[in-house]
Amino acid sequence: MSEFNITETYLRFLEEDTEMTMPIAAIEALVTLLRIKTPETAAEMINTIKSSTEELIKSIPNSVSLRAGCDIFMRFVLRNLHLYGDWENCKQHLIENGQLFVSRAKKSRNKIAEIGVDFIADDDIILVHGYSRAVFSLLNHAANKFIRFRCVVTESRPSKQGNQLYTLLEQKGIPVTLIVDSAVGAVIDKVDKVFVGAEGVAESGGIINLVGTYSVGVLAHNARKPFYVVTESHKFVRMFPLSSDDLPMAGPPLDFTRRTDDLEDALRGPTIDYTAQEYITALITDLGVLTPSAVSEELIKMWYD
Amino acid sequence: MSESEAKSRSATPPSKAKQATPTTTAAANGEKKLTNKELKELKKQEKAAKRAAMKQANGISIEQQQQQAQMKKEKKQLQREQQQKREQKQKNANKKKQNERNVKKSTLFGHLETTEERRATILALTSAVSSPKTSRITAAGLMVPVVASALSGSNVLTASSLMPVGPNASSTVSASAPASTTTTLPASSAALSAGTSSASTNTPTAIQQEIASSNASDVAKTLASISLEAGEFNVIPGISSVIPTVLEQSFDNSSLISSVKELLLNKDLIHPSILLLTSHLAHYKIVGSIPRCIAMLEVFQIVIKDYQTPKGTTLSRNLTSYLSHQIDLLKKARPLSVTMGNAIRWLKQEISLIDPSTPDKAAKKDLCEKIGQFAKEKIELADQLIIDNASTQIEESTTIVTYGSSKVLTELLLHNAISLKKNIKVIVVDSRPLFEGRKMAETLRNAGVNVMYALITSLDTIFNMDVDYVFLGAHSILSNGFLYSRAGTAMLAMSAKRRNIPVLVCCESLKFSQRVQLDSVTFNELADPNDLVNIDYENPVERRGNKGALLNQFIKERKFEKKKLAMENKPKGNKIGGKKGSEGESKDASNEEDSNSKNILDGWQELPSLNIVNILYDLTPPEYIKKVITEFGALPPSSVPVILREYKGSA
Repeated sequence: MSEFNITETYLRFLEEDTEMTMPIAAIEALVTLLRIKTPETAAEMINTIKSSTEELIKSIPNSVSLRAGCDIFMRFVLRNLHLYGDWENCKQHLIENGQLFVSRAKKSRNKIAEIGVDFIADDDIILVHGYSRAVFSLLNHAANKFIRFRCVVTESRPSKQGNQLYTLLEQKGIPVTLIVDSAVGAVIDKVDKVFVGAEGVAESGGIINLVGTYSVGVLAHNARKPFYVVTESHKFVRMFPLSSDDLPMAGPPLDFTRRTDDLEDALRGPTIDYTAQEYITALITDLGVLTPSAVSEELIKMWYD
Repeated sequence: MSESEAKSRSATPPSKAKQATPTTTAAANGEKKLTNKELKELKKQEKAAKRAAMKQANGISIEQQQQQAQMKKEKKQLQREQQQKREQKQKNANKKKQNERNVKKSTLFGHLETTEERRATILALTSAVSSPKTSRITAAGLMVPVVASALSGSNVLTASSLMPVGPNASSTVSASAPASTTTTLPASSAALSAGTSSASTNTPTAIQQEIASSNASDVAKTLASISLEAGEFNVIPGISSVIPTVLEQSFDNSSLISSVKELLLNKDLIHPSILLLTSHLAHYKIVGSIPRCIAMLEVFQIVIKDYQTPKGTTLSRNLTSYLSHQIDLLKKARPLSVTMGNAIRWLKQEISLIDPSTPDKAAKKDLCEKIGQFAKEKIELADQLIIDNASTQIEESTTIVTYGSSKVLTELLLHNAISLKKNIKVIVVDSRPLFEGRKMAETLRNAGVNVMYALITSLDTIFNMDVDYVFLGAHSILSNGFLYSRAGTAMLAMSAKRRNIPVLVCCESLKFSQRVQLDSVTFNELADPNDLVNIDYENPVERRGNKGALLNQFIKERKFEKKKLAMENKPKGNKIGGKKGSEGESKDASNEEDSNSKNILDGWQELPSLNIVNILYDLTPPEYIKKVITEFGALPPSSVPVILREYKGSA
């Protein structure tokens, strides 16, 4: 393999394993990169990783969670580089541990389900926005524990992830109903709690997720319903957006250019949004149940010690 | 002892004897066992009897004698009563005075050190430390080495030669024990007596005397900063320096006085560069928590360089306590800023880590290098990182509101406007009485940044101007995420939050404090209340209220010159004005001048029900702050304790 393309590798990993999340795929892609390129010096390795990360982030339009994975790997590399005197040994260790990290990250979803099951009680009506593997594994686990709860799933346009979740829950035998996104306000009073996933968790403890999460969060906050974020800790990302328009996005949040007459094509706008920490009750992660302010603590611990 | 008193004393025994003689003589005859006391009594009676006999022999009857005695007794009684009355009066007056003081102190911020107290302390210290041979101008006036010159006979700078007013210059010196009676003497002799009284313990040349002179108003002006009413000083024996007794009278805070005495005892230890820094800090020549910290570290480098380890101790043990003395003095200028506190804590730890076996020279050099590195790492490089991080937040053509003046913010805005060529607009919000924003606005404007300057009173209008961000500097951020910054910040942050404008704080982690505080009363700094009262643009010198003697004289001369000029100009005025006589006009002019120089709240110190609070800082709750940008990256305010916990060793 003479030509190595980081983006292709990354996409291939995502394709091969549907259970794999974006940050993990990014890490795996970077590990593969190291295995193939075999850099000669530490400086070369760091430079290779850096340039590939940049390339990857540029080529993928929605790069938030991907960025989290790259950040973690970079940090991991930087921290381990000076621990070993012998370069070959060090490289070997990095590759091995990188894979260990990947396998551990996959297990974290089961751990989240274990931790989060306490948050679901009998007779609960749970609103879920968007499709998140972590949320599904939690609901799945709760159903396996014979907790009797019902789900309200939003359609989650424009990606229509809600349909996917609806079918999965239906198969599992959990009573579920599908609503349009704009109906959240109409049903929020009937709902007991809200669960959402996250593409990235910012330093403030706020989350970056599928568009619409912010509106759900505000509605839940207004109706005094608990709003839980179910996410793996490797999605914690060193970003601090102040609002949704601070997020890295492909185009401008509002695009006023003229389109074709096709109405379906005319539908444009941001695909992700940012939900500030004040709307979040707690984050259910593999590190335990965290308050939003604890996210920053975890990130600080991870980056400077 | 007065003559009348002597008489009355001699007169009392006879009257007593009259009553006692018959019974006691009988008793004496009857019983032989007598105590010493009784014996004395007997002797007295005998004497009295003899005297009475003598007088009788001279032709004064017993009745007359009794009358005389009675008269003397009455006279004495009267005198006593009068004296008591006088004492009572004085006591009442004192009480009244004290009450007034208490009223002024018993505000919400009574527990905080006032500028008056700080100034008095510094005055006492500088007068003690300043070299005896040279005169110095201090916060309160001119310090003259009277004693030294008086003893040596060289040119004596007496009060009369200094002050334009009368020769009746006098200073009251209460020698040695504060309880002893005060003696009023002419200035030079008072100084001399003070000198001789302590000559046995100390060299007289070391004694200095501050001249407080002539009429009361001049004295008050000379020592205006400590509102001295009568020039009284307390000479502490063996310390050979002066403490204004006002310090003891007006501040019933005994801990303050004891701390001053403590400082005076250790005055020989104090490094001159520390003194200089103290005076700079006290006069707000160095302001801002970061510049203050840098200045302090620089001075510490000098101090450490000059430090000599005394025999019998090691550097790592002695230097810390030596520095503590310096810091005690620094504290008197203004309360230490959080940055200074953190730096001092770090330095002390570094000193304690020095291996005792390292030679002093190497250890000192090492320490100085470390201090330099600390300043570079914690301030310079940190600022660079903060600027880099915050710059990502500032987009093209944004409007930014700032408050007051902050070093890192000024650099950040300059970097964005000049180096990155972003088209930003800055609104500098400022407030009375410090007007720090002017400095920042000027710096930015000089660099060509689009600046708007406004006072905090027009905050509402400012926030209606499509503001994108509020950037704030900080004095400190507390463990609970509260922002402790220049008074007015909280108001700004709250207004911004109300309009959904993000509030960002740029702050080095050196400013993080372990303290937790919920209101801005518990701990704060009081500035001079006079700053809020007088806005005398005509005469800015008098604004601060600390007028030196020379300055005063200068002002007087200026006034005189002005009058002269006015007189010269008068003829013209007469021609235009026509009818009025020159005398009447000049009176009018002077009246006008008087009313002009008097501000509405000028006499606030005498008004018992008026208190003026001039606090320097306030607290902004964390919910009004979107993020804190530090060298560790952007954090929510809730992460301050995390940083403190994780980097306790390094910070």
